[in-house]
Amino acid sequence: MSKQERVSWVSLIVTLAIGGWYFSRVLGLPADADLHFPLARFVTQLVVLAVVISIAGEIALRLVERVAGQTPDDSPADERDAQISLKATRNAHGVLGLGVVVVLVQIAQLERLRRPADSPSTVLEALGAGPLTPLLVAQLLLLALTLAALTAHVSRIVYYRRGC
Amino acid sequence: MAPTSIRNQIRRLRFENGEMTQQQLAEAVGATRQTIIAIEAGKYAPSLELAFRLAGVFRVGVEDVFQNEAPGV
Repeated sequence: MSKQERVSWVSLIVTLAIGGWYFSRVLGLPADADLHFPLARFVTQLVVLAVVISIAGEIALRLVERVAGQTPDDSPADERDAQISLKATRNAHGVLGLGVVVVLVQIAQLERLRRPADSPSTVLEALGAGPLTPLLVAQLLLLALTLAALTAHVSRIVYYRRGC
Repeated sequence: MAPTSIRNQIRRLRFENGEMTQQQLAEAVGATRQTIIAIEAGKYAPSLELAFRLAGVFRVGVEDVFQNEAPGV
């Protein structure tokens, strides 16, 4: 496994762990929760979590390679790595663009179909009931960014494994 | 993701040139060992520049290293 592929695996695990943890926390908050304070606390915890998972993931992958009898390849990136990175970035860009369009459509729809009688109990329900506050829009955009990042990592891994 | 239609003789040429390893060939052409593995397996078609560097290592022409199996060519 090349260094770049190993980095992609670690990044995928980190993004899945942190994204899953973050959205499971935020989307479960009460709909009327003030997101400012939770967000500031979450970001701090996320940074620590990202560093710990990255280091642990790198160590784990190196151990797996050694157990399998392989020598970790730490060569610098070459043209194949650059091509794979370019294709993965293009895929992520497409997902991000689609995510932004979906958010814009959601904002427009909820404004048009405003139902004041609805009383969402959680942030997740509030995203579907509307109207969307700036902080809720930020959560949707963050979700789009996370999905785009996951697309990039998965794309790289697929291209490294199956060819491009 | 479909493999490339370019066939190559790199593995044979490596063995004919002092049983060169993939790592040695990678270092000689400025690529990673993983890229050499992918090229040999037909999972990656190198750039023109890398193809010429590979041919140069074995002191043969590019056509002696790579052959195009695409239909109509």
